[in-house]
Amino acid sequence: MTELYAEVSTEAPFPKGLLIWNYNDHEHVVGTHYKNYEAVEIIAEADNWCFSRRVARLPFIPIKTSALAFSYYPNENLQKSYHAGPFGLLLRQEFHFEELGPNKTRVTLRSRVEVPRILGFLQPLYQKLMYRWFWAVWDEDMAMRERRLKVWQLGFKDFVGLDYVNDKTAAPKEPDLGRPYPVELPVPKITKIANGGVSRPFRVSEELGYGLPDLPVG
Amino acid sequence: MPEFVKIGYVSELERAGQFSRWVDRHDVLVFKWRNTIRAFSNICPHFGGPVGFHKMADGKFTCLWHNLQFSAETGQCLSVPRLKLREYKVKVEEDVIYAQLVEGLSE
Repeated sequence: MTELYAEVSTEAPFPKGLLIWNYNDHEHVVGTHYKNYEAVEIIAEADNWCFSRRVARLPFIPIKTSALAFSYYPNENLQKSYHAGPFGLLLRQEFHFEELGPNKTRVTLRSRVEVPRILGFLQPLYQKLMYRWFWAVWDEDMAMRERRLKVWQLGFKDFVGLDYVNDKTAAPKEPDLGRPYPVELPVPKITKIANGGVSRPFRVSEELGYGLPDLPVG
Repeated sequence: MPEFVKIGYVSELERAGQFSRWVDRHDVLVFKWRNTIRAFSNICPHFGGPVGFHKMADGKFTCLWHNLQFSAETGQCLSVPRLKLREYKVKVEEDVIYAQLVEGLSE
C-alpha cells in the first residue's frame, strides 16, 4: 500500500468559534454546498463527534459517491474526519484551527488516503482533486461565515432570529463587533425534526445570491 | 416616528420576481406574489441564512444554508413549524418600493 497526501492551509478573518461552528454544522453541506452534495444524514452524534452519511458529486469525475463519515474533536484546535467510501477506500482528514487573533484563524487541512502501491502515480491527481474540492467548498463557506458573523454581531439567536426584527416596534441596535463567539458543540440539528430534511429538496436552482447592493444614500 | 423607508424599485423585480437587500440593519426579501408586492425578512430564524438566495418555486422559498422552506403566502416555515418569517408592511409609489421596518403603536 502507499499513501496519497494533500495539504492546504489558509487564513480566514473570523473567530475560531465561528469556523468550528461551520465545520460542525454538518447539515449545511447539502444546503450551502448543494452543487457538490445531494444528501446528508446525521446518524448519531455527541458533543465532540458526529457519524453521518453523505452523498457527494466528485469534481473532475461525473459520478456520485456515498460515504459514511465519522468526525471528532480530540481538542478544540483539531477536527479529525474519516470518510469510508467505495472500494474500501478510507479518506482520513485533519483540520487544524490556529487562533491568530479575535477575528483571524488559520485553517490547515491534511488529507490522506491509502491505495495499492500500483496506484501511487495518482498522487498529482489526488492533490489537484483535494485542492479543487477545498477551494470550491471554502469559497461557499466564506460567504456563509461572513453573513453569520454579521447577524451574530447584530444579536442573532439560533432558532429565534433577531429580536428587533421579530419585535416590529423595536429599532435596530448598534452591532456588537466584540460579541464573543464561543465553541458550543454539538451544533443543534434539524434532521430529526423535519420529514425529508435530509436530501436537497430541488433539482435545479436559479440563484439570486446573497442580495443586491445597498441603495445609494440620499 | 415610524416611517416607510425605501428598499428598492419595482423594476428590480423584473428579472426574477424577487430581490433582497440590507436596509437599516434589516435584510428584506421583496417579492411579487399573486400580483401583490410583499416583503418578508430575508433572515432565516434557524441560523441566519439567506431565505431568498434561490428563486422562489412552487410558492416556497428555500433557504440556502439548510434548505428550510417557507411559504410565500404566510412566511410560515414548512420545515420547522415553530419558525416564521416576519412580514413588513409595504407601499409602492411609482417605481419605488417602501417598507415599514419599525412599526409604531399609532399609525
